Amino acid sequence: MRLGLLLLMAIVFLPLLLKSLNHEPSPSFSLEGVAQLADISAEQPSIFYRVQFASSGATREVHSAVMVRLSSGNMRAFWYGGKREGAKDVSVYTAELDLLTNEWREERVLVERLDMAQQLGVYLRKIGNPVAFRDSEERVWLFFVTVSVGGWAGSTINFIISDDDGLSWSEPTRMVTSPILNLSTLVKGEPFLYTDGSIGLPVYHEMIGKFGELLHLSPTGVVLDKVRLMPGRVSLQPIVLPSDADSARIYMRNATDASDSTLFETWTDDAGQSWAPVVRSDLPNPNAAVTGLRLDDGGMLLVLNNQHDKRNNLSLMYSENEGETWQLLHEIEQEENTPEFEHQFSYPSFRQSIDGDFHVLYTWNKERIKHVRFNQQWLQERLEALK
Amino acid sequence: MMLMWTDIGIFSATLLWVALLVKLTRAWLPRKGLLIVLIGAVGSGMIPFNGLVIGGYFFSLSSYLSIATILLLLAFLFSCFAGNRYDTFKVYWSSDQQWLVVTVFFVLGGLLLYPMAGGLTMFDPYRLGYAGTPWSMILFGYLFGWAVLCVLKRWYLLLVLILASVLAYYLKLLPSLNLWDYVIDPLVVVYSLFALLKCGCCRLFKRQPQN
Repeated sequence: MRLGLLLLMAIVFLPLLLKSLNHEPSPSFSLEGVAQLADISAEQPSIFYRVQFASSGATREVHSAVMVRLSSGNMRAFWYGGKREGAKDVSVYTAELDLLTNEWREERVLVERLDMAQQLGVYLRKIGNPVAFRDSEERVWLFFVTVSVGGWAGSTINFIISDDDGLSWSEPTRMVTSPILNLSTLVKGEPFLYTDGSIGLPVYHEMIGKFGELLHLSPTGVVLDKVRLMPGRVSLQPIVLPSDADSARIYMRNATDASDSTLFETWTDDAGQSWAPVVRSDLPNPNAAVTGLRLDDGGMLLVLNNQHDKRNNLSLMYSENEGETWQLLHEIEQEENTPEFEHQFSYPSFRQSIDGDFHVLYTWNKERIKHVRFNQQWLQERLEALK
Repeated sequence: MMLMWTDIGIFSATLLWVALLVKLTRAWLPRKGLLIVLIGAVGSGMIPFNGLVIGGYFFSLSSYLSIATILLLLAFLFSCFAGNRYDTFKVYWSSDQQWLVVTVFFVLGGLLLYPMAGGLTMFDPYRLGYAGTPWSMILFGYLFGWAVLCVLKRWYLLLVLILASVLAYYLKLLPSLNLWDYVIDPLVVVYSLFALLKCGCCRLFKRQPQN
């Protein structure tokens, strides 16, 4: 009988052995998200820098806006809004930006808590942190977190997909990302593509430990691998900026609240198979989210709160040497705090539209989502001024 | 596919609810009474409260139970109601030695997995569960080693749990490609930890533990 059992065991375990031995090389980074710098000398378009609100103010609080390019060329934004962060009436809203007129169409509710609970077959206490991106088949993905019990540390990631620029959406999928009751994996950083169509999703863990991680998803959204970027209780919300097929830099929010806190930084030169030990960058960080774009000349742009504490400043920073030095390109917001009111400009999102313009969305005092749009001429004049 | 997985999740959570009710009442109820509890628990598990069945509420807390836990819950319910025809099953089910090995397996697995997966170290053992990634051979070796030991030592209860988990992993019965999710979950680890402590206490005070 034992011999028979050992034989049965060998048969059962053989496919697992073959699977474990089959180490496929990590796919290369796709450079689809890299922003293109146009040759503007020929056309000389006029400088363009405009500011407006993307949200209408229909909800008392809004937060965590992101933006994605649609196949029509327009941009679609997502954010969550309600009475306050974590309240039961919080929903994910969406609105479309007409690229030609630069006007926002009317916002609408996309993800509503009770409806989502019914679709997922679970109780949901709150929803938050939408993150959007467009895959290699022009489908728009929206990741968001849901919480059944406790605070944000109890988050689980879900996603819905649209193949018609956000007019209709798939049933939600609840991702499995953690062995601890599938709790405490959150999204904020924008996803990116690999050349084989698979997806990189920067995530973070927030229960007891606080640390950045990177998920590798199949083109259908199943987790294939999970890489820890650092242990401990100090980092959150990584963003990934690939520069070529094998190289990328990651910046992470510093969750320490220390008076000299700076962004964390790591990099890879083997398409993410290994990451350098995390170091502190020279950029200050008041425990706040950051966003960025890689330029096709190798430069990097980051939008961040350029001070060690408080979020009353939001700045556009530039590095031409892989983050060795950073220069202030523009202060998007700078307001003085008063004892009565503390300004808060946070959770920025940064994208380039098909016409080459750049778009920054961010939470404006938690009341509105603000939209800053500038063109190549404006950016390149600023870059020239730094030289 | 997602709907099937949700159904499996809600089914396993309902199973947990039913097993809890049966476990809580079986000490002071005759078999007929227990059968009524079983029917009542299954029935109540299907009635929606605020648009969600009880299994859905349990599923919200427990997420997907591992295949090993689902099997243990099914086996527990079966043991409560099976007749005398299933003596072989009952021998293994009620064997202290079989249970000791099962609880040691889960407690050890929990100790290896959860503290480090929670961020204690840079090394994340949960990553070992993704086949085809570097170091996934370690989890394969760990489970294979346990399975061989089970055959040699006749620990058939644990052997069935391990083999069933691996088979379910091939069949993708859960929405995860991570082998850990099929083998272990925090509920079975916590249960095993208490069972092991209870067993230790009983031995310390030289009392026979009761199943």
